[in-house]
Amino acid sequence: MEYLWQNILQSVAKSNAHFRKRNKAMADNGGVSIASSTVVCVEADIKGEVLIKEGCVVHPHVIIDASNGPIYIGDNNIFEEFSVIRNNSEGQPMIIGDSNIFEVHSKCSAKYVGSRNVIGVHAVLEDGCSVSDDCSVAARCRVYAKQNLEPFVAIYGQTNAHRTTITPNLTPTVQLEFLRKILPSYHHLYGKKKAAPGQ
Amino acid sequence: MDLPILYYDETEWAKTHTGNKVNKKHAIAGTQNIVIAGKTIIEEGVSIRGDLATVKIGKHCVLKSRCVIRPCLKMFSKKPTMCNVIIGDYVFIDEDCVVNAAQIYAFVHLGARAVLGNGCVIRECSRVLPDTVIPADAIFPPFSTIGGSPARVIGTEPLCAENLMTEAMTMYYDNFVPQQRATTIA
Repeated sequence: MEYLWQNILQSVAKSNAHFRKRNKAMADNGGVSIASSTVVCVEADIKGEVLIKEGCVVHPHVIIDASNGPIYIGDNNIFEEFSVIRNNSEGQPMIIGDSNIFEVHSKCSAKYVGSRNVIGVHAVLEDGCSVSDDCSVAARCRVYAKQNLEPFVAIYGQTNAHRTTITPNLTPTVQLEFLRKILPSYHHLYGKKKAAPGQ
Repeated sequence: MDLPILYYDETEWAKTHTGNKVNKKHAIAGTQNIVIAGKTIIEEGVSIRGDLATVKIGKHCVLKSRCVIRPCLKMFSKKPTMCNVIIGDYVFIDEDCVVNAAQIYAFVHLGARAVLGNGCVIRECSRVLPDTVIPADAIFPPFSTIGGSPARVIGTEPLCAENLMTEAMTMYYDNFVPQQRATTIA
């Protein structure tokens, strides 16, 4: 597990450096660097060293707080309103993979979230837990601190019951396309607001 | 039973000509797609996502603080559609609810922190208990008491639920008065 962890960290660091070089202009506003195809509403509260890669959608009133440590977010994630992504560790990076959905009011302070996970309404990923790929956390469920979720685990019900599933979660491609089209027509976008200061 | 009189600070609330009272610290988006019939109270931090689809809310509703109303996403074969949300008259939505429902009929009471899944339908005169989690696409019959996680029907509401809700919601609206006017009357 420890070896795997080192591997992940190294590969993330490498690809992040590459990403920052390419998006140099964006990286200038207070450590927040966001890819151009990502849609971030201006009402979202993003602070600290945050890196969001291609194609994500961040709804209004999302809090991404990296004041205690950096947060690296992969491609095509959806953050619905009032979800809180907060790095509570002392300087350790938080890594979020690709095609995850963080639903309304979910809280995430995990150290690692893989790909294609669904974090339900009011669900909580406690400090330092890690979630691998294709997991679903249902509404109001929680992943406890330092707990490691294996791939294909679903957490559900009042008692936080676990079970493994066979089918991988679908990637929310159509949903993302729809949101990327509709959100810019109703919201000011993060980082692009400066383009029209008079309005 | 009488509800107590609630005073509000007039500087923090906006009142429309149809009698809706909306707290100015809301998080409502896409106002051009939101239709609210009248005499509805919308408290602080309420989020209504009119930007995704049309939202219709009936008269004499109460949306308590921090609840979220968002249209549900339906995947059709050609393209995804956000379904319109229709909320009936005399509906009470308590604090921290997340409503992803397609339709809520009239005289419904949603308890605090309830989560309504994608595209579910709640029929008339139902009551959703606090902390309930309703799964996606569920449909519940009229006069049902809904509770648990995942939600199920755990009882029936009395036949007079319509009258009870009408009276309670009317009284809530009538007793919701600005601080200034209240002091002048007294």
